[in-house]
Amino acid sequence: MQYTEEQIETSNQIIYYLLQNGGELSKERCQNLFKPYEENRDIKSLVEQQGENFDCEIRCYQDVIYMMPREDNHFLGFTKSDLRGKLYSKDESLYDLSCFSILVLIVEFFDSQLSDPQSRDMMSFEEYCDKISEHLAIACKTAENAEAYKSIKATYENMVTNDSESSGWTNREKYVSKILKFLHAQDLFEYVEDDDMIVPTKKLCDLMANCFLDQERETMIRQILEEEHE
Amino acid sequence: MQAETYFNNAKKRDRSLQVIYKLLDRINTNIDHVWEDYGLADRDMRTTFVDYIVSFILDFNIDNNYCLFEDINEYIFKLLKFLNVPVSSEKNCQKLTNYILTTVLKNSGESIAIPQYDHEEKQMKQININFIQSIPLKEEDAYSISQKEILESIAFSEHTRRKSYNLSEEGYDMMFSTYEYREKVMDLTASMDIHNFILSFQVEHRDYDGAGKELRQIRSKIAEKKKEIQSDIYAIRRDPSIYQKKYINEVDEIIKCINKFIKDNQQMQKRINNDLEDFERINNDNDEKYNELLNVKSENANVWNELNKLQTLFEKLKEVARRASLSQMENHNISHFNLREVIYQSILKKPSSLQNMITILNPLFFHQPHAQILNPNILLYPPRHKGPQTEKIVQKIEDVNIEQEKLNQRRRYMEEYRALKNVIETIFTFAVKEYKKGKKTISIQNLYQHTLSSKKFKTQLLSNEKAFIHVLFKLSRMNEKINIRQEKTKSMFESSDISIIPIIQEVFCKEHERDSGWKNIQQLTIRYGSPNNIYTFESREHYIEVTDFYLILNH
Repeated sequence: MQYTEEQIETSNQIIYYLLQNGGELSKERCQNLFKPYEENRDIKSLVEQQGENFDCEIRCYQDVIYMMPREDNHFLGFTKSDLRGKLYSKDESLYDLSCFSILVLIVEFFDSQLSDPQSRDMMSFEEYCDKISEHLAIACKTAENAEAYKSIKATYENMVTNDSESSGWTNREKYVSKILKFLHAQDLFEYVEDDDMIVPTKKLCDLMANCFLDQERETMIRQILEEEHE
Repeated sequence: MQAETYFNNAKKRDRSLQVIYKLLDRINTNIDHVWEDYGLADRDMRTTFVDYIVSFILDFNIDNNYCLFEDINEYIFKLLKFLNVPVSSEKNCQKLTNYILTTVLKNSGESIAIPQYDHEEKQMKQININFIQSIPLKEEDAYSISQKEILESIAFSEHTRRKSYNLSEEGYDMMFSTYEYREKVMDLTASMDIHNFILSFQVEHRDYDGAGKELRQIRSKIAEKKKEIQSDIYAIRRDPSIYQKKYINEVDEIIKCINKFIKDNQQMQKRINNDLEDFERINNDNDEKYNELLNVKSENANVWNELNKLQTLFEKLKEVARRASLSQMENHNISHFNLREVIYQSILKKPSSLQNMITILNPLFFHQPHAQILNPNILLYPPRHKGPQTEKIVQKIEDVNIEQEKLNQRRRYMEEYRALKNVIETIFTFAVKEYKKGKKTISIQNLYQHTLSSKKFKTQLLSNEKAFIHVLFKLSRMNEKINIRQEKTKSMFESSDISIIPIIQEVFCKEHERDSGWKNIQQLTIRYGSPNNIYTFESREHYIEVTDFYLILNH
């Protein structure tokens, strides 16, 4: 298909904007780019095609264009070492705890069996800390290899609480805060400190409802989880 | 409950207990054997019977309706019928009705004397009580059309004066003290009704302090309910099968009730505003009652907010219940997989899969590459000749980033500076105060204790302790005389590290103008004390061990 120079230029601008702005382009914030994407089929298909070449999916949900890296995209997506750099992960057990804490937050918020997957609207910081403990206790009972979870649980329980002086991963509040800060930087969750509430962002709700929990991904996710880590 | 609140309520509670005790005593004293005539020989049954009747009178009172002898008689007849007591007509119950009203509930014109402990005078006293009181009905007292109609429908005769039975003040206290216990098992709307009734009673009697407390109780009750509803919503979303069909209808009823409460609240707000206007008209601004009333006004507004939030939450619950009902009835086809089952349970079973979690989550994340490599010219399509312009954009982004970094640095600097200044002010205000008392040397330990206990700076970002350690760290390394009158040599923002001396000079300069005591101090000396007294302070930035030293203020 032949595209005009203007179409190519606009699609490049859209991709550039997406790369610059954390993979999000909203109608509200950038109407001059959103409008041609919405109205011109060629531009839309050009942008999606470019997304394919970037190993990403580009989709529009609720007036926002999202650029989502594929599972194995380690340039625009995250690798394990990238994530290690963002969170407290002195050793494997701390890294596992960070991943588990993120999972707990996602499960608590998106566990609905109704058409909208969102199951709750907000959670307090303290409740989140308690939920991690609660889920770790369940994991210790359920896991085939309970020792691994027991070690993660011990790491979490050994962290001190309500002590502003202790720093880094030894302080539970600071440890959980760092996870929340990372999720906030990724525009997935927001922690409203004044009201003490953790709320999922519009981006996360949109992605969960339209893409992340898509039934077509189920088999692939099961396969990834089955893979033995090298 | 706090000890103070417990003691404040003790008087009221003692009285209620005495009244209940006295009432039970009267129920048990069966002189005329009237109870037996009606098959109510059992003591517990008699107690429940009287409780029903008093609650019946209270219900009439709450609704501002007249409670006539006939009403009570009819109710007793129904109760007896319910208990399968053979009574042929309402007329045959009159003896029992009369006995309960005059003998048991003592509406015979004389009151009952009971002993009560006076918490203020700390001795036993006799007080007189009544459980109910009868108020003669007058047509002109009717304050609503419906009441007027009732009064007109009652045949007045010259021989009998009609009376309405109301609970006395002791009767109300007694019933409400029992309701306080019952409330725990009552639903929201019933307990709100009682709270609202008590509230309007208190406002009417100008007990604004009590009304304020009542409103706070209402607010906490709503907060509890909100929490409950929120968890109900979460539970239904997670498992629609726990949804019950009756939910939607019940929620509708509750929403109607909340609407009524919101209207009541608005009326209460008008009433409070009127009272406030009355206060202002007679220029009574300084009155304690006026302040209490202002407090009631703001509490009432808070309750209004909470009620609205609760209503929204119930609407949400209704919607969730409706959707759950749909998914149950139509076996709704959900397009998303079960996150808990597919991801969470798998990871729970196999902890090693946590290592693969990042791969699954990748579509949610976005690893932003550096701006410099985001040149559109590297994209797939033929380059456009806009190189210089792109470079300009990249340069601009870099400039903005540098400015942003500068701004952040300045903000951090300001925050630290503010905290240090606060602590220095605290230290020297305390030091000068001690100096004025004649003390010329002040132990650092005293200063440390004083700074920690200072309430003023609780909200600052850098804690008092950290700021104090920082100041201490700097001062301890000086170990020399500081001329506090010295002029500032350079702008504070020019140096990367905050210097303590300019802040001390600034504090002294400010205080010179306000307090002459500060003027006498010309120099400060930090001198080490006994090397045996070692204090250790640890923080993320500094680990310092100092011997006890003193701050000496000189002329």
